[in-house]
Amino acid sequence: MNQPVSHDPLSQLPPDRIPEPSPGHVQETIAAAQQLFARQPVRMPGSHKPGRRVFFGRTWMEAILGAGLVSTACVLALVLSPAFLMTPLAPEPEPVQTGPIRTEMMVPPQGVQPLDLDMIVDLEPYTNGELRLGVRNADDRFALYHVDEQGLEQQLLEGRKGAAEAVSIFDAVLAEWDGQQVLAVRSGFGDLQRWDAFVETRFGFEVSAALSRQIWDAADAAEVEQRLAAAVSGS
Amino acid sequence: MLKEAAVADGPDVEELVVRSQRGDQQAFNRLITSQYHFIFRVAFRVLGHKSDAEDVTQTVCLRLATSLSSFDHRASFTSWLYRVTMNVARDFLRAQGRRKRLVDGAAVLASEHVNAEQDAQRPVEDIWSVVRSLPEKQRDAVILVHGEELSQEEAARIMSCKKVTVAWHLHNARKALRDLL
Repeated sequence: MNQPVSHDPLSQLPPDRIPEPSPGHVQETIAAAQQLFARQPVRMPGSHKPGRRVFFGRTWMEAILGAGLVSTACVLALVLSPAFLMTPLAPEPEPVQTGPIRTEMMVPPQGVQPLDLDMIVDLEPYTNGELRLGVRNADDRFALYHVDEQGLEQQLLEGRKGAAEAVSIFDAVLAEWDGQQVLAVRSGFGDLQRWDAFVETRFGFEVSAALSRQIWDAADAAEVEQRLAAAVSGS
Repeated sequence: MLKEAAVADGPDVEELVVRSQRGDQQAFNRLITSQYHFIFRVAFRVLGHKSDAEDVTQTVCLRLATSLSSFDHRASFTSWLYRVTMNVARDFLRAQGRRKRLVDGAAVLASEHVNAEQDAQRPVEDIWSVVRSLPEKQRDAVILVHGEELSQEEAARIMSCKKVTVAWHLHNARKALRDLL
């Protein structure tokens, strides 16, 4: 039962006692995984339809026209809104309030597992140099992902959207800020796009409300880097 | 490779993975059945609780059903599955706030057992619970190298770092454990 601990605690670590999982749980889990697999067979790597986008469930031409109309309407509505004119861009430390799109965007609560969009829709991959990202669109929500070098996905953020829209990633850059790596991602639909900032931590990339406020409307990646540099020198 | 990792890897498993990625239901059934205990074991090493390990195993199995396509064969399937399982277990700990409780528990253990004589009598479960309370990288390094008996090189591949970094984590873990045990 008891085993001695040597001077080097690692050299003589006793074997960990691994219990047997409950047979019922084993069967239940395996059956659930099999059912899920049968319902949505996995695809070979790289077999995602390139450029697959769902815009209003119609053709590209219709989608482009539709997105343009929706974008224009949204921008007009927001610009003409007294609240938009009167309210500072970032009154609260929530990146979701900093721009004209994704005003309902939700950052998952710390530590809470996402509701597994990965179980119901395929990742739409996006690559930019060595950066591998992706987005998943469901009916009323979407999520952005970072894909590491081993192909593991980390959800960056999850947000709500209209059923007719499909969020895409348009640009991304890995920049330095105050000695930390910051992943900046430009996403949205149509003309409604914005940058979000994710600071690399020991747990992966985590959204930074403060930095997102700094960069959300940057014109391009170069301006993102400039603003981040300015944010360091200004802080 | 290590003795137990052979349970998860091998030509049969790699073939099952490829067939599963092509949508072969039967291959996936065999794959998931053969990997359950491996996933559970790794999850338990991180979590130290049977029911938690079962929950994490379930999550990993369901993710395999939907996300096996993201495995691109650049690493061995075993390495990939280690990584997936440890990541899900890590997220589980974060979600439950269990880590803080583990640390608190370890602090209590450390304060209650201060002399070497008592340390020598520490039950196996207590020692591993202290290991689980280490910072994540140190914990993962100890679990992979001393629990799973992987080489530092293989642990480095799983942890996406250099071998020397694993050695550094182990060094720090050794120091921390000397203080805690």
